[in-house]
Amino acid sequence: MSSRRRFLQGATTAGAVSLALPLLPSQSRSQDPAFPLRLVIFFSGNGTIVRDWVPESNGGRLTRLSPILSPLSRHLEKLMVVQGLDIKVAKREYQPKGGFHAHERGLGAILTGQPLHLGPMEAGSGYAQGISVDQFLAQRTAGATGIPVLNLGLISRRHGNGWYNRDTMTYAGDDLPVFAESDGSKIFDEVFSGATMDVAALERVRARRQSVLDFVRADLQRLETRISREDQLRLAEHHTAFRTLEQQLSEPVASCGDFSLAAPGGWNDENNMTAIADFQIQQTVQALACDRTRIATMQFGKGLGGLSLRCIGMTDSWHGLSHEGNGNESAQNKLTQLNTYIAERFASLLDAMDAVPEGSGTLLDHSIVCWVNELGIGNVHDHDNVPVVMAGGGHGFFKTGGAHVELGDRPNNDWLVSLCHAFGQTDVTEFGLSELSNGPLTELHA
Amino acid sequence: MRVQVGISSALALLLACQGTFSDDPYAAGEPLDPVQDPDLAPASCSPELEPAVRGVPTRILTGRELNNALRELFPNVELPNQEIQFDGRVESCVVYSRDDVLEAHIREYRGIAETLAPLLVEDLNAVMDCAGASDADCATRYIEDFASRAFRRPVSADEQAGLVALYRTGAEVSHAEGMRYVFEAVLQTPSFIYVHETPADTLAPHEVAQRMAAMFARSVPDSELLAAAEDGSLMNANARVEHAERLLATPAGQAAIGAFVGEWFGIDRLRDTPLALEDQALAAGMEEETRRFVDRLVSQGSARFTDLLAANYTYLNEAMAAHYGYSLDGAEAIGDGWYRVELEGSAGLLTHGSFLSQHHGPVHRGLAIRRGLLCGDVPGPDDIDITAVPTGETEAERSKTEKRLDHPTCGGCHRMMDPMGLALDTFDDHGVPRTEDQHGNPVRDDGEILSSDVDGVIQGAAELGNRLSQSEDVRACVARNLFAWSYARAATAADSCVIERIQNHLATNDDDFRAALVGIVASDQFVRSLQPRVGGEQ
Repeated sequence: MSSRRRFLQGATTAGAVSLALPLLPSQSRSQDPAFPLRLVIFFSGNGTIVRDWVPESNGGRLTRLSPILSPLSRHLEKLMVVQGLDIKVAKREYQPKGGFHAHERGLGAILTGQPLHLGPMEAGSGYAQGISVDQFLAQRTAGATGIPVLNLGLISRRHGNGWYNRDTMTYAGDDLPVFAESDGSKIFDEVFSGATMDVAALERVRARRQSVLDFVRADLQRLETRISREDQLRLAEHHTAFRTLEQQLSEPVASCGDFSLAAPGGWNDENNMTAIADFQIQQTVQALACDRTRIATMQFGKGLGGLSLRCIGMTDSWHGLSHEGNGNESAQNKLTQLNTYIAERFASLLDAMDAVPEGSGTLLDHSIVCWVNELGIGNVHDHDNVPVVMAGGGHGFFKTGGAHVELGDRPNNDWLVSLCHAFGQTDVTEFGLSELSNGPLTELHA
Repeated sequence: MRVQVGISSALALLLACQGTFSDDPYAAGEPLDPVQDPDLAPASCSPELEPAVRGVPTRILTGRELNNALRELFPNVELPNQEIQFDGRVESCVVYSRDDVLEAHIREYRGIAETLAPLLVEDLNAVMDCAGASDADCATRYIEDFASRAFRRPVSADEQAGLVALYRTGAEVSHAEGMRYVFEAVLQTPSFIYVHETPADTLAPHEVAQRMAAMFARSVPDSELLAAAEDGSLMNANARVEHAERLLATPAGQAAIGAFVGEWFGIDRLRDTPLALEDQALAAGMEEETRRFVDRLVSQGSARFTDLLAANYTYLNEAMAAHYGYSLDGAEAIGDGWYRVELEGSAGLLTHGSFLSQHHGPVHRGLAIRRGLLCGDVPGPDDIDITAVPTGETEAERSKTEKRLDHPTCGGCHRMMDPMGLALDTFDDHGVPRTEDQHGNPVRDDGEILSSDVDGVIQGAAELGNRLSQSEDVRACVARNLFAWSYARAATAADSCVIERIQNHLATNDDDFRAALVGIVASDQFVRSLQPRVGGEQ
């Protein structure tokens, strides 16, 4: 009998791994005076603490940022704070009757404007009934960049929870969730693919993948003749996976120049959150700057993310705290501290974007950067007055300059229409549930 | 003995609580589970009228199945454990794959195949025996055997030719590269990663083997099962019972029963809790306590859910005894530094740290019992002003609970949870017995079970566990979970007769769920299948 052999797992997730890229000529965008418009949607969950979120303003101009928003003060000139945006479709009356909870309804609706389906696996497991705005705009601008859209997670998935719809806000279509990738090095490989490999080695990998793909595809075709129509539909996405892989196999190797990042120790360790956020922010900004992609989402935790942000000495579960009543002063203060921490990360995203010069401005000026939430007030679990901050303006499409806009109960469907219009998709007159769409939110437009 | 019809009692428990008090909290409730269509339920269950069980939909292997399958396919190679991110849960408990496939699944499996293939060819002697044969001949021979084990059925000529062609392409570089092509392909190909059944009135023998391997080992069929499929003997009920009992006696079979209990009680979620991040050793100790408890129950020939809920002992080592503050004096040593410790006032798994540290406070503890043991659910507190009940920072949980129960909006749902959870209030968030809470408030353990067939006032964990272990509602819920485990999907109303039969097996076998599982395969129903026709013909 042969002895059992023990293989050590690859060192990719342990310790600090530096992912270095060889020096290659970087794509210069400077010849192109019209820098492309970019969109970054940044998410955090569990609602906010209103008293510490609402800033002071006068005549629609911010005069004093709130405690939670204070880290954004250095970007005041490129900011707009939005109030009165409601995720109306997340309210029960628009949802199928069933056992959904507020978190997944809000998360599923924020970028889709759609209700959830009833899930087949367990009460409340259904997905949103339509495409999310990031994926929609990626489809509309397909071919412009190698990666149509980048969906990054910051500890946005946990194993074995079973509530998949709490894991994602992005959808490729009706009932087609797209899960953000929390492993930053996987994203790095995908975005800056092959740039660390020599050409011959890359060709070998591609040849093997192609041969394997041919066999696997034939196997699926054989299997499809043996299963029911219902089951064939169940496997339909397998064909999509083949097409995506084939596209990747034929894509030329792209490079974003000399760019390396030190990977934090564990992609699911809350102690590492700041390092994880830094990594994800840096690579997102690099991918935008060298035009590998124009649309990105960054999902901080998941819906109801029970994150305990140990990196700032917070051992309580964020979600647990959000259930405490207003009378629990210590819980309220901790929640403010948590939201302020997220604001700091959002500010550092803006820092990084504003540090990339583009023409007479910066990457930030040519981008729309939004910070959204799944809920309004955390402990009430409502979907009114979702805290929204927008920055960059997107070539001056949206207001900036420290604008403070009170919308007064407008649905996020209209906000999604505005985002489409910013990208020139003016044929879009509604987004998500029809009955909630009234057209763009011109109050936000510059 | 009177046995309630499983589905009707389970269905009743699935009705949502109402926001306001009434004599019957379910009176105007909405079913929470959309698949519970009472119209599908047969009027009565008898062997003649009993419908065939709807087939198992095509699904992707779960992480547990994949890792067990890898051990079965490569017994001499220790491969790193692979995690499947997209596993979900049926009935909130049993881990199963989502019922439709996402692109992300496929990417995940491709990644696993690409990770494992190079590891497998590092030392091919451990994988395949090529003594006395040329590399190419050996590969051809091995491929047929390997693929038929991986696919759980004989390999077609087409498939064999395709795999040999892959080998040859890679073998232009080297024998190992050729095998790498083969492993990379087989480990991500639909015939391996999908569990599927061809629509027909009766399962094919290989499909029976596959179902049984999933039920009794959470793996692919072993060589004995494959042989019994090959000679057709698995179509015979007695042969199935023999194989079921054989598998249950193997380490893989015992591990599968342990896995069922672990998934049912959510013990496998412990690693995702804040405790696991804070104190890994403690979390591992808790997990091991529960694993030893279940393993010993199973290996001593008893796997009764009544023991799981009511045992007045547990297994501890010195570190865990110190954690709980229990003495090991006079405890019976069972080896490896572990002891069987008799504990007055304990209630099987309900008083294990692995359970209590995942569910804090009476609300969550009560909810875990309502969901896991009574197959009921309680809607979340959304669209409800949860600040309606003012509570103080240092207020005792019991006092908060009393306020919630008295509140007209909150009470209707909280009575489904809190009163049961209060019986566990003398255990802290890490499962340690306590006489006062973290704020210095004294704690008590009186509680009440409501909305079940064992309603009544209770005192402490032991009475809670004892009372639940005598509940027909709990037995029906165990039957539902065993159904989900066996058929890899949630039950529908159309499955009520099968669930009733499982419930009967439990009742007549001292509530031993291994006997209930054997009972499932002993029935001719097990090989009958109700399936839609092959593509397009329906």
